[in-house]
Amino acid sequence: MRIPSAKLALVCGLAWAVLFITCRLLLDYPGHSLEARLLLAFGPTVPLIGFFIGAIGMSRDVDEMERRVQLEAFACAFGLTLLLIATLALAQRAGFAKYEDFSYGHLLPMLYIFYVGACCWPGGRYTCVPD
Amino acid sequence: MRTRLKVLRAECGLTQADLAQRVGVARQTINSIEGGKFEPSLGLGMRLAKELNATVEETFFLD
Repeated sequence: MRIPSAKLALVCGLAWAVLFITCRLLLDYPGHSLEARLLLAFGPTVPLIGFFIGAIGMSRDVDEMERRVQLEAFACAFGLTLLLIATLALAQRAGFAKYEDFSYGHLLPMLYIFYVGACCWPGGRYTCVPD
Repeated sequence: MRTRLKVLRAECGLTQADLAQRVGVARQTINSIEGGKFEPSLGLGMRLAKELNATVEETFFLD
């Protein structure tokens, strides 16, 4: 039986978010054994793989216009994130920003925010008057 | 590229949703094609023309 891609992506995405936050909080406490640290570090990878499989399946299920919207959104998100990171890197070296405020940990939310924003923008571009 | 999709669809008595279902795309895609916001692939253009009992040249044409 084939699990619908959207359901797989949603379930695995939520599972990953919960696991990631839990593991992150647990790793803040010292004293874990090597096995426990390995499990906490690499455990969230499993649902994330499920999320990727679901996301790829979703992109194959949509029609050609939605695929173009998604592609443009990814291109915008990637470009904007790269622009921001590159600018911040130089700003940090010049002493205008602190590494603690703009580290790689901020890359994920930036990508997500830019992706959602870009999804709305080209989506609007392709939208016409109702039938 | 321009299209007569809306006129041809109306002549066939189909809604955007009906046509979208027949060719296997979302209603928004038909809406965007009719509004000239999105140019369909050759395959989708041919499927649309076939569903509307027209040729591709009758359905889509250059300015």
